[in-house]
Amino acid sequence: MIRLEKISKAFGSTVVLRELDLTIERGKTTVILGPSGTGKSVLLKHIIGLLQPDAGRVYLDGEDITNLRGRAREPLMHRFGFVFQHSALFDSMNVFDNLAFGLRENHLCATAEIPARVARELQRVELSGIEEKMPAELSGGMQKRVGLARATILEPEIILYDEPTTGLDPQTTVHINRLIVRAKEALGSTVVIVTHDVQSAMEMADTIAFLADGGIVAAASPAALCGNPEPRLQAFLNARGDVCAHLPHKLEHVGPGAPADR
Amino acid sequence: MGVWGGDDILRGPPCAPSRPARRADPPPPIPVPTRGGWARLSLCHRGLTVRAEFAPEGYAIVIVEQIGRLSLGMLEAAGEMGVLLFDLTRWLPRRPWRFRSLLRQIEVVGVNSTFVVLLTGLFTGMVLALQSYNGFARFGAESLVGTVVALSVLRELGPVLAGLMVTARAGSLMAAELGTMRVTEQIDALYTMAVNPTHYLLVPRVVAAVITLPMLVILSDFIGILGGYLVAVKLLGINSTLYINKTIQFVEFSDMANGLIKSAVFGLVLSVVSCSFGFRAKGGAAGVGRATTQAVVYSSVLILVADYILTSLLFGR
Repeated sequence: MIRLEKISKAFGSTVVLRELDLTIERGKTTVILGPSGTGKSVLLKHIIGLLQPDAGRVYLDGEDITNLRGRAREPLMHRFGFVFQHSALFDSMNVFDNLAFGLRENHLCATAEIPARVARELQRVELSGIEEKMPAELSGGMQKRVGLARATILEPEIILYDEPTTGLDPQTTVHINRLIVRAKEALGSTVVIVTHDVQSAMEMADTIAFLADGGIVAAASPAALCGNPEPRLQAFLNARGDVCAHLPHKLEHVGPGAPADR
Repeated sequence: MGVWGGDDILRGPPCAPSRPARRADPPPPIPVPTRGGWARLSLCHRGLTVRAEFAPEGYAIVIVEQIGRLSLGMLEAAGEMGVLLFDLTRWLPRRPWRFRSLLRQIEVVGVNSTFVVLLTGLFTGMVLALQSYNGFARFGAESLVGTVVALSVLRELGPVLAGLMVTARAGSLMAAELGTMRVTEQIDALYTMAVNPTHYLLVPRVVAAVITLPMLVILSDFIGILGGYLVAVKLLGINSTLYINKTIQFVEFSDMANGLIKSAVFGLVLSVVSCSFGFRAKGGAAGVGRATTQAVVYSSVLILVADYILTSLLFGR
């Protein structure tokens, strides 16, 4: 369980987060939803420690991890996976080395096993056979999937997704969402997704936390959220038609076999 | 800042044609910025009135502001470099030792800079011989050209010019590469995969620069002295034996050793400065460009400053 307590963060004179409280349940999918520029990604980076709060604490299973640095933080980082908005693949390495990097650096498996694990992971994201390609040769959607594979190959307990489907076409969006759910089901991990895509949020979330004006305005299941009269929330949910009238089915039990978008 | 009345130059009213200034004329008014108002300057030029206006707040205050901002920026950069240096010393001895990365960086910083450093060294030696011959011939001391060339190259020009060339080649590369990795979140990605970016990216670069710069300087020293010899003996006709004897007579091993110590420090300076600017680049392509420029400028200036300090420590009496 991850608990954020009274997190405040400002960049210069711009206050982004204001005494924000949030609890993320173990083994569940929590979606942090909100308009662009409200600090969703900033919030996500506080969880993993890429950013430090100006005030407030971050707890992981009751342990205060806010100010753990350097060597003390390393064992903790093995428990986290992070999928970046723009994939952040190492552009000097090919796909194989990108995926193998974490395994090699952290000695997670024998050198001889690495090719098999990379192949298996690529198969999971339906990109078998692209080991030798460089990141620049891949489409945006493919890069996202390689980024996802690079995080899941380390089998983290907690996977954080920063805008996993922003800027992708609807078909690829659905595909990525299925892969996210599949990875979660395969690893049994806790998932935190930051997005402004209401539809995706409704499909995947156990809990949706709505972020506005530097704080969590509401945190509840998709159905319960629809019943919340908070005006900022309703305005956001219903900006493009009434999503709540036809709540999408929750994505579950997604086996392999979805079409790839080569 | 000053707003020149461009329209007034064209449409200004006719005025008396200019005449040669007489001693009795008062000096033309100098626009003095005053708070809360505009200072105007009116001149007669070819029969037309030319006006200039200065906004006071855009003048004196902007200068003070710029000086303040510049000093703060420099202080901040110095602080970041200090932190980085401290971080480096902490991570340097830790395992795993990345020999492969180190060799790769030695190739990038050292091997790939060899040609340009050799070329610089050669021409430095050649021009030194030419210049000092010119001077020494005036009082008949041509035989000392070899001594001057060797001392200058070994003690000063070899290390400094090699440092500047490597800054231009490899320092800019480090800053641009690390800056791009920073703005595309690749450095954050390392961190999230439990790999320390300082250990993985910076340690090999800094160690490579400290190791390779003295090696480059040895090559540069050698070819610089050779270039001086060729110009002096083959072109200017100084006796070869005399030239070599005078060189050996006055040049000591410590001259070269101190030059090499200097160059190792220059390697440290240029790599730490370049890595520091690259590492904290922000703001996309423009940010990377800015970081690269700053890395080269600060490295070059700091190499020259360090050169003075080291010279006074190593050679000073």
